Formats: sequence, C-alpha cells, structure tokens
Amino acid sequence: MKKFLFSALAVMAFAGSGFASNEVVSDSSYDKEIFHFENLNAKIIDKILKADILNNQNPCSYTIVYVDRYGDRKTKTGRSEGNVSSVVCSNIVAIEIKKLEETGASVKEFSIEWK
Amino acid sequence: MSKKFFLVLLLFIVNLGAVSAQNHVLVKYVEFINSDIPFSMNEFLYIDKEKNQTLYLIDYVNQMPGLISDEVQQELAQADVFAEPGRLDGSIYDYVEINHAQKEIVLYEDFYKRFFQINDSYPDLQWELMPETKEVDGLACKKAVTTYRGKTWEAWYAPSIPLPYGPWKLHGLPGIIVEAIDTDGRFIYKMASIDYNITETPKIPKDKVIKVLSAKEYLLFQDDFYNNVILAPPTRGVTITASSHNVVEGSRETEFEFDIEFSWED
Repeated sequence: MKKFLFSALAVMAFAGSGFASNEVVSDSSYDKEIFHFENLNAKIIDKILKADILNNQNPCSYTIVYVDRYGDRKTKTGRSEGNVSSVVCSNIVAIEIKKLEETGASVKEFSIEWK
Repeated sequence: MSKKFFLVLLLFIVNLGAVSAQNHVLVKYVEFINSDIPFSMNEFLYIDKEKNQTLYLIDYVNQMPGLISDEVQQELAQADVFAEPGRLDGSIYDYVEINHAQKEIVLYEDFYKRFFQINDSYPDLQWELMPETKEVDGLACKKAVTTYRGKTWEAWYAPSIPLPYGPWKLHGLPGIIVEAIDTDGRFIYKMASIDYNITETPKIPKDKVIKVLSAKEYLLFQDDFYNNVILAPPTRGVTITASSHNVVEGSRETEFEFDIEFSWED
C-alpha cells in the first residue's frame, strides 16, 4: 500500500494545473500530465516521483468524511472503475476536492490511498 | 450662557446614555453540542428591553473542541479527505433576530459561504412550570419544560432576573433562562455572564444576504445541497457510495408545523 500526503495548498495547485475539471484524465494522456507537472511546485513533483508512479496501476479508492454544522460526520467513498496510475488517482481526488471547495466546503486534510 | 447650555447638553447626553445602557442587556451563553465531533460555542444574547427585541449571535468560528470518541477518531484517521462547512471571509456569527412585540423572527445563517436570511414563524412556546428548584452560580432557579419542533427542552430560569428571554429561540419564562438542555442531551446552553452596561447592539451584515427564504425553503435547499451536490457522483469513471444525508436528524428542530417532503423519505 502506498499513501501520498499532500498539503491542501498542493491540492489546489494540482487541481488547477490544467486538468479538465469535469472528467478523469485517462492513462493514455499520461505524457500530457507529466508536462503539466512541470508547472507545479518542485516539492510536489518530488513526492509524486518518489511514489514510483511509472510502474504501477491499481484501483483508486478514497474516503471523504465531512462534518455538518452540528459536528456530525458523513462519509462518502469513491472507487475507480478499473486500475489507474497514481497520477490519475491523484487527479480524481484533486477534482473531488476542487468540487467540494466550489460548493463552499473547507477541505482540511487530504491524502490518497492507492492500493 | 453658552457654558451653561453645554453643561446642560452634556448632562442630557450622559443621562441618555445611562438610560440606554439600562435598556440594553447582554447575556453570554456557552452552547455545548454533543455530536460526533463535539464542540462548544460562545453565544451572545443582546436584549433591548424597551423595544422587546432580542438579537442572538452564535460564534461558529471560534469553536472549542470537545472529546471525540475513539471510534470517530479512528474513522477520521482513515479518511483521505476531511471537509467541513466553509464560511464567508470575516463571517463569524449566525444570527437569530426576534421582535417579540411584533412576534417576528428572522434568522441569518452562513451556510457553505452563502449568507441566507430565513424568515421563520414566531415560536409561541408553551411552557409547563415545574416545582423543581436549584441554584446555578448563586442564582435561585426554577424549572420549566416545553416542546418545540420535535424536541423537548428543559430550562432553568431565574425569577430574580425578570427578563423573559433566553438562548437561541427559547423565551417566554418569568425570568432569564440560565440553563437549557434538550431531553436527548444533545444541545446544552449555559449562561456565562450578564452585562447591564452596554449601549450598542451588533449590526447584522444584511448586505451579504444572497437570498431570502422561508424555513421550509431553507430546509429543502439544504436537502438538495447535501444529497445532490455534496454527495453527487464527482467524476466519470468513479463509483460513489454514500448514504443519504438527513438534514434534520441532528438538528435543533426535527419536526415542523408545515408539510415538507425530504428526498431521503422517498
């Protein structure tokens, strides 16, 4: 199991880095994604490269816990249909976070579990 | 002549200020919410005795965390994304404005960075005065019970402070409400202080209101927001699993005097 941790700031950079916000970028456009990564903070690139993204494709699953105004938690889980690279997995979660923030939610923590 | 005039004017202004201060009272409450992620909030009741109006401020920003159970802590630790409702920049309070004389109540809430005005119906609370008494911080208090929108509230009021007001929407007792708790033990209000020496009441930032809704419309908006926006499928190629969000389940109000159909009841 590999787990990547990014700061909320990194998520914003990632989500705003040129991906179409309404679709998952497929692995076939992988080179394009790498190109976009060149525009990102070197620290983020380093973290992603360290995760050995080039050699692995796995299902991408994630869990979002959000609390309502009374402090009660609600859980939403997502799972990719098939195996994807860690880049695509990151993208899926980044889009999800961007959408959450667009609704007015405040995202406090973010990580991707890529099994 | 002119010195005398200014002296009289000064005394008049000072006197006006003193009268105004006596007419305005600030009661500070602390509310404890016993939820999955429990927390306390400072809340402020501004009373205008002369006009029989109150303004209640709920500080949603400077929350004091409570003790989270091990089970919830574990679940939070396993989450990949943790999100909570955001607020507009500089938005600290939600407001409950009540004109008791006119029997009008208006709420102002910052819901996910949208500032709503909610025109509600005035809660005409029917209290049952109970024989029990107790002392709270040196104040002799009496017990009263009421039911409002699905919750039964137990209140302790101080007849020695004959102000018929209290936290949130609770009011109408022959003394200020010192403590209030719903019988599920989920919402607890405790009076922290009372100040008779105030002259100003905060202003509600009404210019930030984006929409005026009725209580029913606001509930339906929240239902749609949680179940069709927050929980909506996010991206192509991803399967989402989530249970529907019952927006009244953990709320201070669970039943209503008007007919309403929520999406999770389908």
